[in-house]
Amino acid sequence: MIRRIVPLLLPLVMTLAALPANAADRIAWYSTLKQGLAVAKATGRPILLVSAAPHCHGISGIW
Amino acid sequence: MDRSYLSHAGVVAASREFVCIRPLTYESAVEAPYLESLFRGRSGNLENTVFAMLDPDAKTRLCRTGRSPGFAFQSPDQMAAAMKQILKQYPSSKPVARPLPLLPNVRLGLNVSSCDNTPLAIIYSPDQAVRTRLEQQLAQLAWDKNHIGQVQFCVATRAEELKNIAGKTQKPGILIVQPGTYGNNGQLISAVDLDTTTTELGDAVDFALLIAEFQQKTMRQHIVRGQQLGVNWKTAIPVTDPGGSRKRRRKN
Repeated sequence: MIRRIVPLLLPLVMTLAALPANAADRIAWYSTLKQGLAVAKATGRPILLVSAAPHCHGISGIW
Repeated sequence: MDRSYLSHAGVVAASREFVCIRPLTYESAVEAPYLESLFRGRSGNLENTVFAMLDPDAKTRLCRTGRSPGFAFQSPDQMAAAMKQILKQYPSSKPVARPLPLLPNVRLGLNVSSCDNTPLAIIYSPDQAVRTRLEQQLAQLAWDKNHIGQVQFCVATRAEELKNIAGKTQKPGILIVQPGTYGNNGQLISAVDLDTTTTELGDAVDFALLIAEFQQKTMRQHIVRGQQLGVNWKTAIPVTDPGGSRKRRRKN
């Protein structure tokens, strides 16, 4: 159903909004040390690391 | 997380030339010792957040480490300037195709995408070769200028992993999901088949970005309402942050 609706609505939606609604610039994060450190080693780029817990007082959905 | 620093335009711009890693604190016993080696709070234990800028060797520190960027910099502007200065030590290397940034599993994928207010794209296939092909296809999209940082990604190999997602998720493919407010469930909003073209995939992701709806969360309201609803996130390892006053338990 969804796959049938998407092609029908997409041209209209694209006309109404040239850019995605949530297109604010954001940092793109690797979420595991294994993957991120491997990329840093392969590319020779410096690392920006910020660890964070995806919950607060046991309530998920918020940093 | 200190969003005033990490959403600053200059910091985001400079971050494109860094490898940005956001490990999930208390969600990996393997990663915790490394994070502790970078920063321990006054309690001597791993706290909720750790901040560092490092050489690609993952050892050499390029600024003061701490609980947040505020430990090292007086303002986001200062952090952005420091990042630009650091980049002078690391002239652009030959371009390397970056792999798709993957969250460890669907459970954490839903939660992190809810925290970030972004859709979650799930590569769902029991076949390793298919998953690898789709990861490569999605990676092109994930790092293009229109999509970078806008979507989270993870992998599912079994239908059981999708049990908390409403909608027709039985068929393998790429499933794009709007996470629930508490990141413990989600709603399928777009999907493509395994044999999708890159164009169709881009359309499906753009469609999801356009129709996904997220409410701004305020910490206090979110926590109070979550407690009323009985939300209780279980971490992989015990929470040792002294500010986490509620007693935490291991994931069963």
